[in-house]
Amino acid sequence: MKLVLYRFLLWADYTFSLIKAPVITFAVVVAVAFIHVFSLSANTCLAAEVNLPHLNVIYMAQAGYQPEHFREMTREFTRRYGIEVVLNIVRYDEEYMKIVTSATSPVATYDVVLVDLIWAAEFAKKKYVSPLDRGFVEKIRQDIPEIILDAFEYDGRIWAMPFLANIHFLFYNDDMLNGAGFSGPPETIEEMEAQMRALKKSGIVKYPMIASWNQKEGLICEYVWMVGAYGGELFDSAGEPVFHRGPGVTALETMVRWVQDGLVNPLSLTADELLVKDVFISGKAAFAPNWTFLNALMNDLTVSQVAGKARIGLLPVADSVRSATGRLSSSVSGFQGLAVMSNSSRKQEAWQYIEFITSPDMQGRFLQEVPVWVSLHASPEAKEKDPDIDVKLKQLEWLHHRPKLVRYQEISAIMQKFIHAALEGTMSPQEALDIAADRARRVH
Amino acid sequence: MLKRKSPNSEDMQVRNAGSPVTRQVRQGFRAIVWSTFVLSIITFYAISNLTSALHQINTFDISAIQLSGEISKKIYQTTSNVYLAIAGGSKIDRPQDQLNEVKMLLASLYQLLMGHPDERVREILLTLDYIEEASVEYTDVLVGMQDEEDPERLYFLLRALSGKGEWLISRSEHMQLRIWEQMGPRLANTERLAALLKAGVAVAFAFAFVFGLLVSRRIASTLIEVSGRIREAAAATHRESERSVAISDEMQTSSRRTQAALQAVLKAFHGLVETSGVSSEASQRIAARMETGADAADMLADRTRVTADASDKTRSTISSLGAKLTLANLVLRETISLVHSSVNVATEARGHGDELGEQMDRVNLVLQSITNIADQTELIALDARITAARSGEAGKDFGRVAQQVGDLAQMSSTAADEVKELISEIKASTLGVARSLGLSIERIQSLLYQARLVDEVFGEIKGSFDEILCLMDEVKNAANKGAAEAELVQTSMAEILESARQVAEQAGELAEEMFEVANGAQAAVEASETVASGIVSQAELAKEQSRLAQQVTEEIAKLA
Repeated sequence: MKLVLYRFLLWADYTFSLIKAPVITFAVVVAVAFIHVFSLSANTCLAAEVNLPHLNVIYMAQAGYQPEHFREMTREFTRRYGIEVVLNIVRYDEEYMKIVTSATSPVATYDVVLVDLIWAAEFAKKKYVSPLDRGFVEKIRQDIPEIILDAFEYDGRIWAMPFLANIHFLFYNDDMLNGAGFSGPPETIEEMEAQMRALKKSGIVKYPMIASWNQKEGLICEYVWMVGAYGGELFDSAGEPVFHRGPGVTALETMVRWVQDGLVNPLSLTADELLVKDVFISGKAAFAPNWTFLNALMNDLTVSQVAGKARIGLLPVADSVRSATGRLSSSVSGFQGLAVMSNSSRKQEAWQYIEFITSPDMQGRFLQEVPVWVSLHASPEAKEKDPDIDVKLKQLEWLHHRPKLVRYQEISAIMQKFIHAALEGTMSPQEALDIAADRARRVH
Repeated sequence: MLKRKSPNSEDMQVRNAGSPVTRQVRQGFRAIVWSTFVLSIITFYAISNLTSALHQINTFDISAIQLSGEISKKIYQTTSNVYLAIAGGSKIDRPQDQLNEVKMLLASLYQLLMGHPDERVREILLTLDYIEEASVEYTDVLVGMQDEEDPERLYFLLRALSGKGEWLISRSEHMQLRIWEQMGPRLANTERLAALLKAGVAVAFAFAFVFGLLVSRRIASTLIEVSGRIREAAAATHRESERSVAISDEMQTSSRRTQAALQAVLKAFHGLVETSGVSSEASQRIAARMETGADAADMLADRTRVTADASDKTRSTISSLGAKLTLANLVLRETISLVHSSVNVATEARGHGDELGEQMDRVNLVLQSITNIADQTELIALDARITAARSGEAGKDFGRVAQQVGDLAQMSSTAADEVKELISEIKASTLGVARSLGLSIERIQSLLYQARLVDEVFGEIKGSFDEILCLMDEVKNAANKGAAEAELVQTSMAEILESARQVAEQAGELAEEMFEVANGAQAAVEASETVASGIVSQAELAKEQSRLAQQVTEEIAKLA
C-alpha cells in the first residue's frame, strides 16, 4: 500500500511538473464548465418536463369551501395577476398522498398545497413546505386568532397560511326536538342522551344521531371533541398518549353505549362527513355533529328536506365538566392552510397566490366558511351574509386540536382501527384504547 | 504536489538537472499508466455506487411498491367481487380464502423488508402487521356475510366490509407512500450521480487525451533536445580540450611566475611581521604613557572640583558675614540716632539745671527774708514776753503767747536755715549734674564722631564684600570650567588609551596573522610547485580528451 502511495505521489509530482499550474488551472476550469453544463442540461431536461408555465394547486372536495367557490377565487387571481393556475381538486383521502409524492420528487408536482393542521408537524419536520416569513406572521398575528395560527406552528415557525377555519358544530333538527317536547338543543352530553332517548322512544326518529364514525380520520375528529367534552385530551404535552385513561375511556364508552342502544345510526360506523350530511338533510336524524360546510347545505332547498327546520348549535359538554370548569362546549378544529412546497420552482408566484386567496377581501366575499380574520367576524357584511356567525364564533372559543405529532398518520390509523373495533363491539373500550395507546407509543 | 523536502526530492533534483532519456521516457509512460489507473478507480467507484443505488431501487423500492400496489389491487378486487356477488344474489365462494393471495403478497413483502432491517423499514413492517391483522378482520366480516339472510344486516356488513377494505387499501397506499418517500430522494441522488458520472467520464477522457498528448510531445521534444545537447556538448568538449591544452601551457608559465612572486611576498611578509612586532611594542608603551596622563588628568579634575567647592563655600560664608555686617550697621545707625536724642535730652537737662540754680538763688533770697522776719518776730516776742512779765498775772497768758510766737519765730528761722542749707546742697548737686551732663555730652559727641567713622568703615567693608563676592563667582566659574575641561581631557585620554590598547592588540594580532600568512605563503609556494606538475599532466589529459571528443563528434554525425 505504501509503495502504491509512493508511486502515486511520484506520478502526481511528475504530472504537476509536466503540465504546470496554468495548464492545470485551465483543465480544472474546463472540467467545472463541463460538469456545470452537464448538470444544467440534466436539470433543464427534468424541468422541461415538469416546469409548466402555470401554478399547480391541489385542493380537496369535501369540507370547507366548495370547489366552485375555490375555482371562482382562483379565476379572480388569474384576472388580477395574469398567472394561470391549474386546480387539482381531489378527495381529502388522496390529498396527503399526492402532497407527499410531490414533495419527494425532484421537482414539485404542486406549487401550492392545502395543508390539514394534522400534517403540519410532519411536513415541517421533513421540510416538505416552506415556512411563512417571520415579518409576515407578525403582521397577520394582529388579525388572526392565536388558536388558528397555533394549529400550523411547529418548531417556532408557521408553516401554512390559515385558510379554512373549519370547526365542528352540532346540527340539529328543531322540528324533531320540538315534537319531542324540547325547546332547544342540549347543553350537556347527559341532556343530549336524554333527548335522543326521548326522540327514539317517541318514534320521531329511529336513530336520533348520525355521525362520521367510519374507520377514517373523521372518527378521530369525533373522538377528540367527545374526549374534550369529558374534560380530556388525547396526548399530554410531552406527546405521550393519555386517551386510554379517564375522559378518553368515558368518551368511548358513551359512544359505544349510544351505538348499542340504537341512539346512533349503525350507518355511522361506515359513514364519512358527506354521508352524515346526506342522512341529516334527508330528515333521518335529529343530531349530526359535522363541519361548517353543512350549515349552508342544510338550508339549500334544492338538496335539503330540512331547510328551515335545521339549526346550528354548540356541541355539548359533560355536566360534570360544565359545572366544574364552566366550559360551555367542546369542539374539534379542522383548520386548513395553504402552503408553498419547498421544491416548487415558482415560489414567488405561489406566495402571491396564497396572499391573494387568503386575504380578508377575498374571504369577506365568500362567507360560507368562518373567516380566519377577526376584523371580518364583527363586520356588518358578515352578519348580514351569515346570520349564524355568532354561534360559529362562540364555538371557536371551545376548541380542541388533534395532536401535533410528526408520526400522526400512523398513530391516527392505529387509533382509528381500535376505536372502531370498540364501536363494532369486538373489543371493550378500555381494552381497545390500551392496545391503541401501547402501539401509538411504539410508533412515537 | 510533493514538497521539496519529500523523500524523492533528490530524484527530482537529478531529473531537473537533466536525467537520462530512458528514465524520462519511462516516467512519461508510467504517468500515463497511473493516470489511467486513477481514472479507472474513480470511474469504477462511481459506477459501482450508481449500480448499487439502482440495484437497491430496483430490488427493494420498486418491488416493495409493486407488492403494496398488488395488495391494494387485490383488496379492491375482492370487495368489488363481493359487491357484485351480493348484487347478483349469489353467495360468496369460500370467503375465508378470498384474501389468500393478499396473504401471500404480504408474506413476500415481509420477506423483502426483512432483508433491509433499518430504521426506515421498521415503520413499514409495523404497518404490514396492521394490514395482516385487518385482513383477518376483513375475512371475518366476509365469513359473517356468508350466512346472513337479513338484507339490512347484510347491507351493514357490506358497508363494514367496504370500510375495512378502504382502511386496508389506505394502509397499503400509506406503505407505498413511505417506500416512495425513501425512493424519491434516492432516485434524485442517483440521477445526480449519473449526471456527474457522465460529466466525469467526459472530463476524464478529455484529461487523458490532453495528458497523453502532452506526455508524448514532452518525450519527443526531450529526445530531440537531448540529441542536440549531446552534439553540442561533444563539439564544446573538443573546443574546450584544445583551449585547455593552451591554457595548461600558459598556466605552467604562470605557475612558475607565481612561485617566484610568492617567494617575494613571503619575504615581504616576514619584514612586515617584524615591523608589526615593533609597532605593537611602541603601541603598548604609548598606552602606558597615556594611562599615566589619564590618571593625572583625573587628579587635576578632582582638585579643580575641590577648588570650585571651596570657592562656593567661601562665597556663602562671605555672603553670610556681609549680611551680619549689614545688620550691625543698621544697629549702629540706630544707636547713633538714640545717642543723638540722649544728647538733646542731656542738653535740655543741663538747661533746666541752670534754671534750677537761678530759682534756688531766688528761693535763698526769700528764705533770707523769712529769716529776717523770724528774727524780728522773735524780738517782738521777747518784747511781748517782757511786757507780759511786766504785766504780771494779767500778762501771763500774753507772755505765754509771746513765748510761743517767739518759739515759732525761732522755729521758722531754724527751718529757713535748714531750707537754705538744703537749697545750697541742691544747688551744689544741680551744678554737679550740669557739669556731669556737659561732660557726658562732650563724650557722647566724641562717641558719635567715632560712630560715624565706624559707619564709614562699614560702608567700605560692604563695598569690599561685594567685590569679593564677584571675585568668588569668577573663581567658581573658572573652577567649574576647569573641571569640565579636566573631564574632557580625562575622557579624551581614556579614549586615546582605549584606542592605543586596541592598536596594540591589533598590532599583536596582525603580527600573528602575518606570521600565519607567511606560513600560508610558504605552503602556497610548496603547493604551486605541486600545481605546476599537475598542470603538466592535465595538459596531457586534455590532449587525450580532445582526441576522444573529435571521435564522439564523428560518431554522432554518423548517427544523425
